[in-house]
Amino acid sequence: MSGFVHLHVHSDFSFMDGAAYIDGLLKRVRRLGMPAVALTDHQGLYGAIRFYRAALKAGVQPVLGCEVVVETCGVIGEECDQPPQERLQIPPPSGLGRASASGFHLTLLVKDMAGYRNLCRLLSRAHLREEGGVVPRSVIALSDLARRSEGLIGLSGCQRGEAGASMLAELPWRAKEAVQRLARCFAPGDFYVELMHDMTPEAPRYVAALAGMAQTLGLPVVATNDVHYLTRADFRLHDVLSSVGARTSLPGPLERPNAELYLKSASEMRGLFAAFPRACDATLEIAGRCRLDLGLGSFHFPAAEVPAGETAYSLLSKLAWRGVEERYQPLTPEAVRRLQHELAIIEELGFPEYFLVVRDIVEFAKSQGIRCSGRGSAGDSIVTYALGITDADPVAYSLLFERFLNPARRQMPDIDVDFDSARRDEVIDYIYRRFGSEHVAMVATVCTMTAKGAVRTAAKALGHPPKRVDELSRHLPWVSARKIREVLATYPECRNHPLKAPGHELLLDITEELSGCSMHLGTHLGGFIITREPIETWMPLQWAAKGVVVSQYDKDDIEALGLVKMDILGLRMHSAISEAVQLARDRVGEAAVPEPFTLPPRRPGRLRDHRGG
Amino acid sequence: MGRNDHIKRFDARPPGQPVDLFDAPKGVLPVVLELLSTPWVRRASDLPSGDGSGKRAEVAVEVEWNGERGGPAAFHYKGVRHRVDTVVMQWAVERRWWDRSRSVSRRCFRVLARGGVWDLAFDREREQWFLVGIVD
Repeated sequence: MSGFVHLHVHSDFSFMDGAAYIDGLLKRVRRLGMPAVALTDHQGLYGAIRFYRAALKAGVQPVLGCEVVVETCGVIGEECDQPPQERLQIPPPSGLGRASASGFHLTLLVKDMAGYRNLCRLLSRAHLREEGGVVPRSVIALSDLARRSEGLIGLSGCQRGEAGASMLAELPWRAKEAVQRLARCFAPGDFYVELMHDMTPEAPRYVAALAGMAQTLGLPVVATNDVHYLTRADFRLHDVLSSVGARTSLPGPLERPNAELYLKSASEMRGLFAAFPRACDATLEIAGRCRLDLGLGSFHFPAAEVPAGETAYSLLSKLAWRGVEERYQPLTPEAVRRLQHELAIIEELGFPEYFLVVRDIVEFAKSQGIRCSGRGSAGDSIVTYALGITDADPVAYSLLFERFLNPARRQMPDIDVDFDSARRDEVIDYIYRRFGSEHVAMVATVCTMTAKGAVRTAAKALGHPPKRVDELSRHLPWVSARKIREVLATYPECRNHPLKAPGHELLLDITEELSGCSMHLGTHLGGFIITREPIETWMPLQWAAKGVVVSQYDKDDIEALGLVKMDILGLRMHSAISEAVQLARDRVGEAAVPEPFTLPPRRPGRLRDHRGG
Repeated sequence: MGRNDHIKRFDARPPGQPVDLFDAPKGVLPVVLELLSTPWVRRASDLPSGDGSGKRAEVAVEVEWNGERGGPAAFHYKGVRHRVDTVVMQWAVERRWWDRSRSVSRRCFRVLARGGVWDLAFDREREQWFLVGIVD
């Protein structure tokens, strides 16, 4: 057998650790003629969906996975009896972010949809665990792993896995114990001892010892390279990221001994593992067993409340007809024709539940006197107008429905609703109550490096003190880091910039290379995901810095999965109107300013009157 | 048998001839694996110099490259050509790339030649071969 598949690969979604960009990764995999590649970022599936889609597009089989931190298998009590210097060191967190954790690594690969859902559950459960328990937050408990290992393949981990670390510390008994306990968590044949040859003098002994142990235990072995960058030349980016991620300057706590964690060719990998061809063959076997189909292209709506004997469509239809009769008095043939047309398309595309869910939220807001308004392309629909989600008459203004929903372009509709920003939290509370906290999470954003962020990262890594880092990144505009030299040469505000002084060539080189690199997970301003099944079966969840549960996917990933995302945005204009109405009612009486208060449409000179007080 | 049984069983005949480690009747792999996992095999460059058993070195040498095998075929040291019997181990070193005065970028080969263990290193920055360690 020839060929090789990399099953342990970190992209830049291993925040502040991985330095391989997904597009570049797939290009290189294709160039090397590899049939498949895995993505196993630290502690999450942050880049999984975009990797999955891009790989399919590139004709490469994607294997989804994750390098997780798992509960220690060794006997704690026994270890406590050892003097501190003789205890096995617990690896520090890899990468940056609230999901990172200290502990031993384990590589998990997804075989099928059951495995994907189990991996999402495992990660969510670990990340959302209360602090102060026996198993720390963001660490996967062995009991959970045993319960949720269906559809997953486990690899024993890199040199920061318990088996690898024990072997390096010359504690083979402990490595054996760890491997046995981990293997028991998986179905027979689904656990492999991971061999990694990092081209250090210790590597042959490490590989031979692990392979010997695997043979003794009757476990299969698999070769990996713990890829962190694409080519040897990219290694310094990994060094920069990992040192800044650990909040130190270079060389950082990892201090990699060499530049060998790159995406090696099949012949290079087989050369490294010439004594263990089975370990390389196993990569192909595993890739062959990992045939995940995420079923992209279908939609999954949250459960709308539909009375017995009704369907979502029949209910939507009734509400829309009732609404249109109220909105159009008298009802016009054009409105009737248009409503029939839109309802038919909504039914054909299978979206009735989505409209009912949005209406449900808007109705709640209105019932509580919370000012709200649908905006954007949703205003082009007579159905949203009839349901009270939007207030612009699409017939009167000749708005084109196909701008909102086009049957030729089967896309999830996007209805954005603005709420009174002072009372938006009440709407959010309702969403959690109505659909259940297990079915709702906030949408994430992935923050990437622009020129300023990249300069700061590079300067920190190169050991500049904080004050100097501020000076070096001052006045840099919001542009791509790739353009840093152009910016310094042409922008007036950079005329006397300190980066133009000699001696910053290396810093500028690194800045350019960091362009677009993912830095950390953020939280979308108002995006919520609402699912019918528990949300943790669709995506991993974690705590965001602002104290809310956030998905590990951004809005594009969620849309690709066919899930419902709603933008519950706060609009301060609504707050201002609410306040003005209240003041007016207090001054001239409630009867003079009826609620719900709306500005009558089309009165020329209204703005001028307002300006004049 | 016991520890290192492959090494102990290794047949070094014919007597009087230089030991050719890789002429063992059952293949070289068990012996190599045992050697690699044996604590008494150490990097020559790790050994303290002057004890007679090994020493560090930093001597520029000329190396003949075997492209097919991907390793040194021979090297010239003190006017003598040393044919490389086998490459026992390879490793790579990249250190302090951000500091030009102290950066190291090397590909190292531990080779068996003329009955000794030698560490050869190709310095990528200086594009030159060095003999960096010797065990007699």
